[in-house]
Parts: sequence; structure tokens; C-alpha cells
Amino acid sequence: MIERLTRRLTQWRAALRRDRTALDCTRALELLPLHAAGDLRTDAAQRVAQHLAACARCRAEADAYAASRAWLTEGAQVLFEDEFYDGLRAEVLRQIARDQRPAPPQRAPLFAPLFAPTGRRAPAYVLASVALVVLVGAVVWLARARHDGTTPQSVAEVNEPTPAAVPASPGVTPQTPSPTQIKPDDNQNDPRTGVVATADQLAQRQRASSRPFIKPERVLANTPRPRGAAADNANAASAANVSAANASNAAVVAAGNTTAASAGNSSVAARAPGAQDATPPAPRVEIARIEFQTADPNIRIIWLAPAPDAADARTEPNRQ
Amino acid sequence: MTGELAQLCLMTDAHARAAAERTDQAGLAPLIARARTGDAGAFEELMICTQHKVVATAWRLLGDREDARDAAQEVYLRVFKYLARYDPAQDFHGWLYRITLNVCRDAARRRVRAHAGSEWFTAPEREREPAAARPGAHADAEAATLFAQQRALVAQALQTLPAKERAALVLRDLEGLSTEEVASLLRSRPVTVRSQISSARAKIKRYCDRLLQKGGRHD
Repeated sequence: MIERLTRRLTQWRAALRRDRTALDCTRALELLPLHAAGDLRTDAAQRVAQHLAACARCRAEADAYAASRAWLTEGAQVLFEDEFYDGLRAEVLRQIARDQRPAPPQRAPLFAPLFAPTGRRAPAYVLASVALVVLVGAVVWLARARHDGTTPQSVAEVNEPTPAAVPASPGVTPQTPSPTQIKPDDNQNDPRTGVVATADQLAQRQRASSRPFIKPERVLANTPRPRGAAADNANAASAANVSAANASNAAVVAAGNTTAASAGNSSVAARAPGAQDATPPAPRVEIARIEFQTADPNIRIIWLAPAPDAADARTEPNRQ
Repeated sequence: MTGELAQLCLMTDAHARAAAERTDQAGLAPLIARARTGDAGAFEELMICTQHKVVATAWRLLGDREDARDAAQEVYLRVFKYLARYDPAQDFHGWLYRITLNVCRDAARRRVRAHAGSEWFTAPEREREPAAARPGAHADAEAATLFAQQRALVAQALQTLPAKERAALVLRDLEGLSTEEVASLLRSRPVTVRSQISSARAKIKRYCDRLLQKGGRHD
């Protein structure tokens, strides 16, 4: 009994092994493309070979695969002429040589001729370069000087300032003013100091007010007089001299008139003839007026001090 | 420079054959080392050693002579450009194949010309077939015509394949690379490459079967 069962089991295992190794046509046809070029593993190739040996239809298919592969291999031969390859290499080398060519030279810089050993235009470039350097230096120096405020602007002749300001009488007929006089309602005239600025001075102040820098001035001023006399002088003064009258008969001479002021000329621009008749000319005192214009155009710091040559200025009226 | 290039371009066929013999990795190593330094002569020798392989691969992938020439030019320009990045420890031919595949893939994408037509072979391809390229076995005019027709049919058959299957079939069956090498070049798995090759071979066989059936009906 046991022997019979063992024999049956052995037969069953052998049959199972045969079924596992055997291929049907469908599976064989699937493996034929790979079998044609030997791409199958050993065991699979053996099973396909066994199937092909037993199946004529699959064998014909395998022959067709081999023929198509041979047809493909033969027809895919590349048999180009030598000129084809020569032209290919020449074109490649030409492109490589073109790409490796150095880049075109850049434009020479502006001052390159200065450093050239020889050149026809070298002197011209040298002169132009020196002129350019000088010009740039001058501009920089001027800019710095204006920024520091060290450049003197003008010298004016003023009366000593009085704190009180008396409004001018509107009925007063103004005397013929000097061309350099300006209107009293101009904000540039300082009622406290009695300064009546000229047009040039106003222009300078206008420029000064637009930018914050310090503007020193050197002025000539008359000695102070009594307040009543100043009011009389104001009545006789022109409308342009209203602020000067309010400020104790002030007369302003532009910076260019410093010679006339120093010479004690009685025809000082801001001085009215009537005022001269009413009061004798006061002895002049030269004071230095320094204005500091702040960043705020409405704020200006004015500093008045006796000039070193005030004694000389004080003696000028005596000479007249 | 121009004279040097002209002199290099006039290399004799004997020199070319001698250079073609040094196509293995060890033989190419000195050329590669010199070419990496900018030696144009060494680079041309390198081209001579590998030009047939590059042109054949390009032609088989693109199916056109002029496209293959343009692709080969681009391949060698890229080789010259990136030769400094090439690792001498790796296979130069594999590196060259990879560049060729990339160039042909780009060219195929740019190409607007339709190769798939109703005709069995394109007339321009047959007319461009040079007489000097025909092998001695096809010296006969009729045989040469048949061979040119077969070449055109093969090119057309290859163009019917999908790009990946075509690349796998060309590298495996026509270039003779192993399945593992093809998988490495295509950055794929060997199982995938086997599947692609199997499908491509089946399609080529069916193409041949149709040709034979058409030919039988025409006869």
C-alpha cells in the first residue's frame, strides 16, 4: 500500500514538473522576440527551444523573427562616403575654431592715449586732461568755500540799529531816490538795524535765503541820533527810505559804494536831502555786520561789531 | 590656426584607419587627455576613431542623412565643450552614446519634417544615396537599387517605432550593446529594456510581413 502511494506521488510530481517546463504556443510566441537574439535566460531559452522543436508553427515564427532581424541589420548599415566624414570633421573644427577665437577688442578707454608710448594725439589728450582736472578742482573748491561760508559777500554802510520802528507817513513825498535804493516793504530790509539794502544786496540775500549758509558783511554805520530827529528825517525821506527812517535815518550803500562811504560822500544814496538840511551829518562809525543765514529762510542771525578801522570812519565826517 | 586646421583636415585615409584601430578605452585615453588640453589634432583623431559610431547611431535614430550629419556635428561640439567634465574612469563610448542619444532626441523634437509617409521609401532619401557608399556586393545597378530601397525601408521601419523602443532596439541589435549597457544608457531597468526590445522586434517583424505581402501583391 505504501509503495503504491509513493509511486503515485512520484508520478504526480513528474507530471507537475513537465507541465511547469512546457510552454504553450501563446507563451512561446511572447518569448520569441527575445529568443531571436539570445536575450532569454538559460532555462527560459531551453523551454523555448523545446517548444520550437515540437511546434512547427512557432518555429516558422522564430524563422520570421530571425529574417526580419537580418533584414534590419543589413539595411541599417551606414555606408557614407569618406567626403561625408571629412566634411563633418572640417565643419566641427571650423566651429570650434570660430568659437575659440578671441573676442573682438574692446573700445579703448578715454585716457588710453595718455598711457600709450607714442601717439599723435597724446599732447592734445594731455592738455585736455589737465584742463579737465583743473576745472573739476575749481568747481570742488568753490563748492566747499560756499558751503563753509568763508567767502565775503558785501560791505554796506548802515546806521546804528534802533529797536523801535516807527511807521512812515504815507503823505510824504519821496525824494528822488538813488537807483540803488529799494522799497522799504521789502522783507530783506532789517527794520531793527535800519539797513536799507540795495538791489544787488537784496539779490545776494535772496540767493542766500534759498540756501543755508553764513554770509558775513562789513558795513559802515552812522552814529545814533535822537529819536525825534530820526522821525523828522523819516518824513523827509523817500518811501523807499521808510524803514531807514524808522531805523534812525539809515542809509545803505551797496557793496560797490564802499569807496563813497569811506570818502564821506554826502550824496550817499539813501540819505535824503531834506534830512541832511535838518540835521548835520552824524559822525560815521564803521561797524562790521555779519549775517548768518540758517537753514530756515525766515531766521537770520545778524551780528554787528565795531570794525577795527572804526576810528578812521569816525573821522571822515570831520573831513567833510 | 587656419593653416593648422587645414593641415589637420587633410589627414590621409591611412592615418584615419590607423586612428580607427585605437577605439578601445585604453587607446583613446591618450587622445582624450590631449584633447582636454585643447589639442585640435588630438580631438580630430578622437573624431576619426568614433565618427562612424556616432554617425551610424544618429542616422538610425533620425533616419535621414543630413539630420545625422547635423546631429553628429552637435555631438562633437558638445564633446569638445564638455570634455573637461568627462571622468576618465568611466567608459568614453558610453559617455559618447549618451550625448548622441540626447542630441538625437533634441533633434527629433525639433524636426518638423514628417518621415512617416504612405510611400515605401522617400524619393529624396533614395536620390541622396551616394554611389560611393554602395558596397561592392551591390555594384550591379539593380542590386544597388534594391539595397537603397532596403535602407530606406529600414529607416522608415525604425521611424515607426516609439522613440524609446527605437533607441533600445538600435543600441541592442544594431550597435551590439548588452541589455544592461542599454539600460544604463537609457537610464532604465534591464527588464524594461527587454520589454521595449521585444516590442520593437515584434513591430519590425510585422512591418516586414506587411512589406512582403505588399510585394507579393505587386509582383
